[in-house]
Amino acid sequence: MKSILVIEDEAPLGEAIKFKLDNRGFKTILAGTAEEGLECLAKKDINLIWLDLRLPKMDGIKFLEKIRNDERFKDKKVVIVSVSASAEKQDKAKELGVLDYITKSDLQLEEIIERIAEKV
Amino acid sequence: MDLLQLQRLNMNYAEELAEQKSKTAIVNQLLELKVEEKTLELERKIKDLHLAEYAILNILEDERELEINLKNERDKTMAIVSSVGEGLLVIDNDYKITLINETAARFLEVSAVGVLGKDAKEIIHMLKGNEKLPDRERPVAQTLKTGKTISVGLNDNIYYIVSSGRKFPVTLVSTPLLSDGNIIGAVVVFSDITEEKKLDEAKSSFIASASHQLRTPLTTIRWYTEMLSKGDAGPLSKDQQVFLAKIYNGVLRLNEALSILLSLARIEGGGVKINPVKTNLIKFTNEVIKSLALLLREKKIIIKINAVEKNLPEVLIDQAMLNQVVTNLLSNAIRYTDNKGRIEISIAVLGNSVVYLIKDDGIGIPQDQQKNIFNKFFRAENAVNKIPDGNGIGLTLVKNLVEFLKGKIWFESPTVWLDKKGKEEKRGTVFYFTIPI
Repeated sequence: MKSILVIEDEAPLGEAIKFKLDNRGFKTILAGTAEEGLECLAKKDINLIWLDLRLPKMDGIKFLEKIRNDERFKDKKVVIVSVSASAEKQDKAKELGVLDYITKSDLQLEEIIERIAEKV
Repeated sequence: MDLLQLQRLNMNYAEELAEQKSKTAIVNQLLELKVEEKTLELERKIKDLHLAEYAILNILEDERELEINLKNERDKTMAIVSSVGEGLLVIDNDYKITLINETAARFLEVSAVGVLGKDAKEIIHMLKGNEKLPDRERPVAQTLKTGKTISVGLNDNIYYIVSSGRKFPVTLVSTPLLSDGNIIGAVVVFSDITEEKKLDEAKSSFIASASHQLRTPLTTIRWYTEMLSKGDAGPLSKDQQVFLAKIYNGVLRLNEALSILLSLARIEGGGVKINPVKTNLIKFTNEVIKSLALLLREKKIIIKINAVEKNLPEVLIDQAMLNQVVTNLLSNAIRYTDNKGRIEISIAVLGNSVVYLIKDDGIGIPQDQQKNIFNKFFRAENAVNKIPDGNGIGLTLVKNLVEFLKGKIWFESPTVWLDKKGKEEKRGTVFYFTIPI
């Protein structure tokens, strides 16, 4: 079973994502902060990271920079799912090698799940 | 000698003497006349001299007055120059500083006298963002080269670095200094905008927070509504489905209005960066049309694209902004046009501008309401009657975006269409906009 780490600070959104991904047959691990996400990465075998950008304390871009500089996780698959998409952040994310940059406001949850499932 | 002879001699002598005397008298008279004449001439000359002296004195006096006036004027100009709150520099063709006011000297941390004649490029280092601004791109270099006035605004991210290493953001205007039509230098007026920049950053971060705070709960409502409608929490009754669809429709409208409002706030706040990327306009426009496919299918409308030239060149343009402009204009065209209505898009690259024309044969904009059409939250009466639930901010955003990209937007309503028999009929609206590339 493929596992997805979802780093999303808004609990109801995280739960909705977990509900949908679990139903699609993935093993979903929720993390409310980037720091928590790093801990999970170290402990568990993760196939893909679903990353929100705006997070308390360490933000998504910092988290990305951190794992890209870490031998253990530098090649991990990451998809950014953020509420809004400024051109700067998209560019920065692309520089840091993300598979996709999804804007929550543009798509239905079902469509986002579909795009993630293709990439795991 | 006899007496007679002597007498004669005496007589002769007397005659001679008399003659001599009269001659002397004449000569004397003549001499006197000459002296008199000379004296008169001399007097005249002295008078002339006096006159000349007087005239010279007058001229000197005038000159002194002129000099005083000039000095007063110069003092006044210098007082104005130095009391200006902005930094002011005059730079000559060799990039030497020829005038500097106190404000500029203070900002640049130099002595106003010592800096005269120095190379301005060595006194002021310029950055664009974090990168050194190449010499040829410096505003003064551009002014000296082209004779044009160059303005640098808050969003150009230009910084001055002075010899102490202090870096501060500036706005400036560089104006050519002309003499007999030749460029002899540039006048630079600049301001230290550290405070404005801080305020601007605070505003941007407020908009970003507001965006997040409003959108996140809205996303929760939207996603859970989607999950409920899809039966993720069990089957729904017909009524439940209808009610949920109404909630969902409301959420979508709120989501769209929020997107537009936040875009507007960003544009008005000026905190947006233009990000031009190479774009094939036909392909790009087809993508926009594809994103509106649902609406188009519903109304059975097929959009026709005309490229004015066969091989439209790829252009550098901000796709996100162009997308918002075209999407808003097109979705208006679709929504305010009847089923099976006609919509045409024409695209051209003319000179240094992209030109778009979006034409529909819809309800048009009433004459008396045309002047308000770009106003925030304004909706024309016939538009409200046709679609009650619009938000009236789409066109405001479109206009702001186009103008932010230094373009122009205008419209004509009604516009001319040919009917099936080739006869002209006036209906619908055509929007034009241009964006410089």
